[in-house]
Amino acid sequence: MVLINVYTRNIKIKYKSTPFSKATFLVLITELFTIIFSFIIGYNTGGFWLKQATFYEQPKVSLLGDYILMATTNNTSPVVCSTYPFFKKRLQQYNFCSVIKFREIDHEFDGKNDEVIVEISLNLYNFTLKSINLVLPIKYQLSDLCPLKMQSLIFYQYNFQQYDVVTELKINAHLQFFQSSPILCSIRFSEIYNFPVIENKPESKNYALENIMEKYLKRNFTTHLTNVYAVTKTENKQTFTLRLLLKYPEHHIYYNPGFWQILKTAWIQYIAIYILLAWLSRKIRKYIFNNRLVWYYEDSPINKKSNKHIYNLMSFI
Amino acid sequence: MESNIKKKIALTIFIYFVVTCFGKEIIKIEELASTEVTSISTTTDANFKGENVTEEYTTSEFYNEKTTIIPLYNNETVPNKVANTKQVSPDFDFCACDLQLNICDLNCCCDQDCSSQDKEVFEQCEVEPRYYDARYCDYVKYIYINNTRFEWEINQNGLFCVVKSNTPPSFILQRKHPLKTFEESEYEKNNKFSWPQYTQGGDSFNSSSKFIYGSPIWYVDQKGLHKFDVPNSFITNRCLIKENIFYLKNIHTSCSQVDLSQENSQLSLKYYIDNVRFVAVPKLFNITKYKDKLLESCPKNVCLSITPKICDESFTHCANLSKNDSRINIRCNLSIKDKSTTCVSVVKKLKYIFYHNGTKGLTDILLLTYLDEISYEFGTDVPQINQDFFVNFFWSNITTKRLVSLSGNPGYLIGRPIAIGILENLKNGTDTLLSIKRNVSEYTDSFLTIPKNLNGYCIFTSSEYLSIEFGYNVLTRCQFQKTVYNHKKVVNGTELCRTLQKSILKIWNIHSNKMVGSFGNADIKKPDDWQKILYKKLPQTILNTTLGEYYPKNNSVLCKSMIKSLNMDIFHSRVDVGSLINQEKILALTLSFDDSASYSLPFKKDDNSLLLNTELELRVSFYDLTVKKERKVVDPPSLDIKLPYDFFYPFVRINNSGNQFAYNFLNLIILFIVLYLK
Repeated sequence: MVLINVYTRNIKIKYKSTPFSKATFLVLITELFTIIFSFIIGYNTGGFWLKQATFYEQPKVSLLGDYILMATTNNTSPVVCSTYPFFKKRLQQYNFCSVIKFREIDHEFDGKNDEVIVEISLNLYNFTLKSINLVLPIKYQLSDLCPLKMQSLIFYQYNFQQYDVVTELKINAHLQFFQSSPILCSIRFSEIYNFPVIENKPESKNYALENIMEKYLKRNFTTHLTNVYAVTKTENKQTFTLRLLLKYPEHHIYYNPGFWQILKTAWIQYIAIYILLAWLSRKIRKYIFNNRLVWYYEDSPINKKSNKHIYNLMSFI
Repeated sequence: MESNIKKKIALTIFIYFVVTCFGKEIIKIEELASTEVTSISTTTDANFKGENVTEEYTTSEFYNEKTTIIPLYNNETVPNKVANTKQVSPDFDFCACDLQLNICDLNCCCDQDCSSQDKEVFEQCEVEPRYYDARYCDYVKYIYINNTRFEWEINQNGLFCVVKSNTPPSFILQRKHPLKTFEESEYEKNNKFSWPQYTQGGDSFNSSSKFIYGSPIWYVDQKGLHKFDVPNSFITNRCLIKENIFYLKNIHTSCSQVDLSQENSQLSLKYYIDNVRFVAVPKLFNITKYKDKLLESCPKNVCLSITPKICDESFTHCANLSKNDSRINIRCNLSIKDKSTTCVSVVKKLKYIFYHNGTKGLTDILLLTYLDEISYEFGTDVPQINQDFFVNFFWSNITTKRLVSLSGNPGYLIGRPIAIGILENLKNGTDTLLSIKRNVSEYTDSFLTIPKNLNGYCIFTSSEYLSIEFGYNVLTRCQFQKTVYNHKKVVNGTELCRTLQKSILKIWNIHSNKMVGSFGNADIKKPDDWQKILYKKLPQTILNTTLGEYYPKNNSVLCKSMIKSLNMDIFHSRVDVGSLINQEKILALTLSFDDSASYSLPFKKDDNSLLLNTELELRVSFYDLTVKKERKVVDPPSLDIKLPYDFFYPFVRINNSGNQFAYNFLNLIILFIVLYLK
């Protein structure tokens, strides 16, 4: 009759020793060595604690409806168009804008705008434009991994060539998210910039471009235009049209990971090193105990006699 | 129990349908196999139904596969149902790209107006936004909607399709119903784009509002009550806008007037002072009581009149101005002889000084003015007249003369000037008393200043100087010109050169007894607050080493060891003063001269003069000596073992940005509980 191996079990042999003995000390040292040394190796090889992590997300961007268009001309009077009451009250006579068109396009109907088209037409009353500045306040929202809600700007500047009589300016660009520090993923932090960059107050300093720029760039998170391509056209007409086609792509964002994420990545690294070191220290212990280099009692279920002997000895101690 | 049975029955039905469908599909495949119909079988056109022509098209533009096209009505395998599909569902009444009635729309393959011949001109078919659920057998029915140049049908190739599903009926939730009320429409506007509408409020006079920092200031003239404002520039330098002035907010505006003529009232002082009276405090101003004659009926203590004064450009010396003075009006004269226009009494600078008493309002108003004369020649562009407006508020019990501004209290603030004083020995009998002298009224005597580069030349006067600002490194260059005269019979080269050297030291405001304030609030009564300036070489030593030689042959003086540049090094550190942290303290101010220059200067015999014309350079550098603060324990030696700062990163707070670590103690406890339970 053939016998097949249907079940196996191990016999546990216990090696016993007194608390203050060479054997105890050896086991303690090797155990501590594996625990501490794997931590030290993990730390010193770098990247043990995950300090920054990244994710990609398409933000939810929407125009607030306000705008400021400031243009300098070849004479001393500028062109200023805006929705803010300050401009209406103080600079209405320089508002030569005839049509303002905004269109936000959501191609996939996922609630996130993918593109925006801004078209501004203004009448040129026998003057030519020297430079143009466009400021559009936007609402910027991230919601995937780290919540972030802020009010930001689309800022565009263009200087015309000296003798150019430009009647059309077409701009194609992408919106970029720039951060000078990582986002902290917490509800409390998510709204630190959720206030307007341009304050609706009756003082002119709130609307001066240099102040808006300075205040805006002091923020840690800002939006900018990249991949900007502009084309100008010269036609024999008395109107100027600015057409901005802006795409909102996915943004690369880095953030401070949470406590458990840091611990998780550290644990993966730790355990990988620990397994190797534990195997090594096991080998050492095996060699020492097998060769009886230290003194111990063997409590083996096979040898009941010696077992009894140990109990007697222990009670004696 | 009953529901269970129902479920079972439904399942059986479902299985039955699937199987039937499966069966049908196999039959279909068998039938179609004989006519070699692949996934799409098509006929060129219904009009060609009589002709038994099989054409093969490679329609790689749309499908990357070879398509066999066979006449529709020649193929008996196609069920008759196909022809009727268009009547099956009302959805197919629409063809989304059919935008012109009775005319064939280009690239619109579902347009009924297009014949197959018309369709041959199409480049592609426009994709319609339609949705089919391909899992259901009905899908076959829907797909017969023709959206290609050809008439075609699809034989479903899937192994199974769902004939009937017993899932509960579902519908798509969507907004279809029109909005009933205006309020409903307003509600729907929330969180959606709409043009912003601002309400323009706060323009009307409100006597009950508190008069505090930032409240508007009102004035009365013959036209009525207005908010006080001054001209300001915006975008360009022209006086485009009027800047509102708010209570206790100091402001300086500057802009250009482009119209230089008597008609431009803003150039004339009369515009600013004539019949203008300021409301001291809105609470006392009773608009209903004074009615139309606001200016006349308003009492003097409520409507304050302005005291105008005519001053020099820096507003240091002022003289009173009477109401009948001719200078309050601008006067322009055309001079044909000089071919120019000259305007006098043009307002160039205006300084409003409002004395106030807190919430009790304004008490007194001074208007310091600087008027100038402007002329321009005919034919040239009219010059732009730059106007400056200053508005300053002061407590009524304080005069401007007594103002002492500190550069920080106690530590220096970045950008503030550095306090200096002069050490004086006062002999009181046998005792010598050290005291610091500081002339507060003179800026150059109380703060560290250097010569200003004005059109390239070094200028250093009480009004023209460059102030050293704490924390800002500066390098300035300017041309220094000085003529010295020899009054003796014999030309003494050394003496002339030393006089020149002295004048260089003077323009740099070098004084060997100069002291610098350690803190921004250095007090002259406390000598400990001051430190002596350290020199590499004392100014006196430099003067002593300066030598000059006169060469009568070529009439020149050779000056040796002349100074050409100065290094001013300021050492500072952030220290804790009491409980205040990070207060900037000046630890030392050192001056080192580069006296290696030698000049051969021409000596003019006719007036015994020696002219020095050289470039001087001054470099100011700030050195931050702050070390990392450490708390040292005075007690027995302790073992100082340190792990790297981020060894236990997520458990400890590393920088201020780590707000999230506030909860980490809680996390740690949870971690230990988890480990303990294990």
